[in-house]
Amino acid sequence: MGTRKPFYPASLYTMKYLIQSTFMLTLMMPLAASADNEGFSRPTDAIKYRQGLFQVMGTHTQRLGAMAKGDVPFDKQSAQANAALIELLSSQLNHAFPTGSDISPSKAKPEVWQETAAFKSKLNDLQTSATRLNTAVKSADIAAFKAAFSTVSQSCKSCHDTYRNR
Amino acid sequence: MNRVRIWDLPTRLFHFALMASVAGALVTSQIGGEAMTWHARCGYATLSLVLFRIGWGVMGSRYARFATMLRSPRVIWNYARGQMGSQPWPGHNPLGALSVTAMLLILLTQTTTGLFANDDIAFEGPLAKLIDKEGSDRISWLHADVTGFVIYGLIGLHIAAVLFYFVRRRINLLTPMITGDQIVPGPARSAPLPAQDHGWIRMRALCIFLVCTVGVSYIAFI
Repeated sequence: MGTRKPFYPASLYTMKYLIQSTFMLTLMMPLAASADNEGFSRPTDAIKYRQGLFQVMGTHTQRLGAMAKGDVPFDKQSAQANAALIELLSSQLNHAFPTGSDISPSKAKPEVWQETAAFKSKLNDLQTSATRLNTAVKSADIAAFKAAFSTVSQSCKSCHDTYRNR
Repeated sequence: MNRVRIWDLPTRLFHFALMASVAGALVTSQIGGEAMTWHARCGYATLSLVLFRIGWGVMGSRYARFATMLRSPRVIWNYARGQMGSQPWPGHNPLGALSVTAMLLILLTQTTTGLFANDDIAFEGPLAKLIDKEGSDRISWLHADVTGFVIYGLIGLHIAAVLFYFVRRRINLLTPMITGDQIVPGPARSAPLPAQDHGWIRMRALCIFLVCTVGVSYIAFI
């Protein structure tokens, strides 16, 4: 007996593997993507979302800033509302920079996605200082409030200087 | 040897006050945060001083005037090539006058853009609210990331030129800027005319400066 001929030609074997692997990849694609997109269906959604976060945080930072500067008298209730929002919103930033959202109209520098650990540590600094600000405001101790606000604005500046284009 | 008054008292006070206000603005801009309140104050002082100096360049004493210091490109070129002798030049030399003008113009630009700028934290210039945020952001970029660096360059050039004259040309430019007097060798009849520096012209300077300060304060507290 000679060597047995395969039932179907070799090109069909290749075809089978191609179809199988394409099928598997198609199955895996949403898995791979979900690790990166942080739940946003498109990058521009993530950009709008985080710019919204920054817009609202900026408004409340300015209101607290007016109190810290003494342009507006310190008001415990209003300060608490502002500080609580800053703390809550800043905690959402960790998941607001999915891969691929470095496109227009984002002003984030590419370093955000290159130096992930350093960037995350800056976000963490902001969140720590925002929590401390919230605590200081609840105590209604003006000196502690001013010091905590100063730390928060330094966190803002430090990150803006490194990771944001104007 | 003749002692000739070159820099009147207002010009000298202006010079060192400007140095202080610009240094203050640079330091506070680096600190940021709550130091921005002081950054703005340094800016108001700088703007008042620059406006005063522009007025003094028109109504001031002999060597402070733009009409005296600004020379034709040919004179500047010849001076730069060293064809106008190695004597101390009375007042701003033709090349130095360009540096003075550049410094005044860039500081005028910087202080004006600063009025419309914001730091995206809790601070903005007094006129920023008159324009939209995108416009203010673009102006802030110009202010912090473009002209800011030009100012560093001009300050560096300014100090380098003073050192160059001191070391290579053996001309001390700093002492006359403190005492007002330049030592000019040669007979008295060939000495340059002194700058007017009497009480009345100093009063005139004070009046110009007050007008500038009131104008800037009006903008600052608009």
